[in-house]
Amino acid sequence: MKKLLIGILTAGAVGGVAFLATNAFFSDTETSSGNSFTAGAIDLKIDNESYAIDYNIPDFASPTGALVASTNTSWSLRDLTIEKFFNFVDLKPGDRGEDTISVHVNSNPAWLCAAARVTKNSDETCTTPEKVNDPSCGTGDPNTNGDLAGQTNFAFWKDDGDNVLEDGETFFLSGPISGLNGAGQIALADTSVNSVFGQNVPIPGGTDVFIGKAWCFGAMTRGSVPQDGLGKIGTNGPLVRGTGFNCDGSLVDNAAQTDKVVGDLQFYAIQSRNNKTFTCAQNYTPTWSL
Amino acid sequence: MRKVIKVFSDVLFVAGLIIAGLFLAAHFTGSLPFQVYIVSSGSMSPTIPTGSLVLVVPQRVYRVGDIVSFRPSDNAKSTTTHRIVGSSEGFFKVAGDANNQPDPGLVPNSAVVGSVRWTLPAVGYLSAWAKTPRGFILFIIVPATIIIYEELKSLGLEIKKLLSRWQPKVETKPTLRLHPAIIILPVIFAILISVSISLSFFIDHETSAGNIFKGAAPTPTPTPTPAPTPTPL
Repeated sequence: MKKLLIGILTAGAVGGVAFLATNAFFSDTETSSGNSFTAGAIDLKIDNESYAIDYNIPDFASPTGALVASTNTSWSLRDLTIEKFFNFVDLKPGDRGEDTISVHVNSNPAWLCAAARVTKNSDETCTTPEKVNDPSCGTGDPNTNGDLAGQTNFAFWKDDGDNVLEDGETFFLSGPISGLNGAGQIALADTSVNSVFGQNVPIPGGTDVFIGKAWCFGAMTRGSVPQDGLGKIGTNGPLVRGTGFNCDGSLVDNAAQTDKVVGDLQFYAIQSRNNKTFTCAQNYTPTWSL
Repeated sequence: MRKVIKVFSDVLFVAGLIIAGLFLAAHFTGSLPFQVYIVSSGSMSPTIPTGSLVLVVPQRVYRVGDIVSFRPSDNAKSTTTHRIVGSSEGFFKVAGDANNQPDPGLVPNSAVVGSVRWTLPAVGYLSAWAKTPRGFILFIIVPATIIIYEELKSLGLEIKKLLSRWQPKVETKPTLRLHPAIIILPVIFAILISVSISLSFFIDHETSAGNIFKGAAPTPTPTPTPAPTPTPL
């Protein structure tokens, strides 16, 4: 009799548990593969290769007005601490620069977002010619009363690493610097249709992706540089082939003289595995230190 | 030695029955005083290695330093498990131990499921494997079928025995019986299959602050040197 009871109990318990497990197995859409673990880490590292007119580079020895490599805004792959993408002074209409950022996420595929903000756009001092074009110079909020951010244009594109804007490389963000605050969260790689590197295509771990940036104090237009299909080989950079865009400062007036623009640029990486609905717009909030 | 094995297998058998009973009871009453999750990534390592099983218990108060599982949004399917690094007025700032930066945004108190009280490394990998069709068949279907078949067979024999009590005894051949302890296998794996994943995302961000563009000052127009006033002779 005891044996009978134990038998019924055992069969019932195992049957019940197996039934529930079967239910769980077939309803578990979360993950039914062992490939869902993410060990390692995500460590975002950035490098920057920067070119500018030598007059704009602080403390440049004997400038001649040529486009040169800007060493103090270039650095090798690292975590950012004091690095600045832009540190250019003495901007005159027609001055321009080109940078290519390489972004590297180690060991795991990741979604990638960016955000920028302008923290200061000020008149600083007011010169006599500046007052002619900007009669209100020096009045209003000293953090937003400047004109330089409105007259300096920028463009971002997905580069192949050679620091040259080539045919077929299209801008994903462009306009005056003053518009950057309104650009919101920039989806470089996420699950949205706006994703620069393609919808639902994460940045693979351990590889570099490149983002070109250009700035121009004046009107920026594309120049035609054919796609050489080579990526970065060291001998096809902007000093050899040009930057791929033109900067026309002829329509810029004196309103931006001595003005100063200060801004921050942030990149954000988050693992893409088990994260199939991530969008920069909804799931990323830039965190600025100040 | 035989006796030790017998006791051990009896313990496993009873434990299997008890666990199965608790599991079924919890399922049908829908109440569990705790949650069990598999942590699917290593952003809380080394405290919680990738693939750990964590026992999460609701608390009345959560403090900075607690590792908590929370729902990142109202309709989120999975929980996230990270450490509280700051709190203010019912909201928490959380971060993965292995991340350089805290998670963006804040987690409201109401979204927290509970805090991690207990961690069992590596079991999550077993669970993930049990969730594959191969693991499911091997660890649940096959043992469960064998056990139920064996039990039904011996039940049939028992009933026959009961019925034949009034009749002359028939010698029943001793049947090859599976060790009862084996029931622990499908029971444990059934539970592992039902455990859901808790995420713990790796994140990092890098900021370049204080980028500067500065407009030029006008080039001073050379002030004409005044022509020397002719000195009257």
